[in-house]
Amino acid sequence: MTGARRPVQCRVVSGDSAASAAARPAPRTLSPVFRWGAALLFAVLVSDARSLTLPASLLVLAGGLGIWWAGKYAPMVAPDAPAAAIGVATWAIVFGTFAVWELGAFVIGNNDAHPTFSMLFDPVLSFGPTRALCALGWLASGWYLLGRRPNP
Amino acid sequence: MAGVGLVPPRPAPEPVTRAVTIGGFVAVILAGVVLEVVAKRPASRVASVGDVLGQVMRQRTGRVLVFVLWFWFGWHFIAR
Repeated sequence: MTGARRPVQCRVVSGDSAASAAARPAPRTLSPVFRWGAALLFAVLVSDARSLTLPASLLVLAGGLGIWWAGKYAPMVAPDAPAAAIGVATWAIVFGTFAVWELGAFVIGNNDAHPTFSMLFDPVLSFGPTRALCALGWLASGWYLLGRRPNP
Repeated sequence: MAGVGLVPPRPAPEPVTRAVTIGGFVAVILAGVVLEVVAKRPASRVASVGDVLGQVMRQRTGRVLVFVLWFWFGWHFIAR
């Protein structure tokens, strides 16, 4: 078999731009079945993994690396028009206020009287089905963020 | 019975501070929701959160920064 030769492939492309575009290899993207299957498997596994355990840590690590890897196969999109400075500033105030409030609750108390956002979320994350939904939401937000590559 | 008068004054009742703390979180989240709804209206000057993140992620540094922040959220809430 070592002497077998692979047939030479030729592409005939006309001058038409549409034909030229069709002749270009399609960008590699992940199929939706693969993406959904992996996300559902991740959610089911996370629902069974308790916090502060090695399996939970490894699963989150795998989810993060998976989204990073999937982002490499994300389709290219045209960059959006730049957002107005006032719009960016308004969102910065909202995110900043949330961070300050969370930090304040953590420094002042981090207890029942001054609960942090994480503490308030603990009951949701300690119940299997809602924990699975949160895991799915986390992956979905990651895909939303990294699933589009701005075309430079 | 003699020690009754020595009881120190009680601090602010726990349910009040708890309600204020939770109210703060709810207010900020509601502000974000209202802002996003306003941003989706036609000819709005306010950018949606997607537009803002898109702008940040145009550069590689911003993309890495947003990824790290997103990963930390997963680590903090799911693995922690």
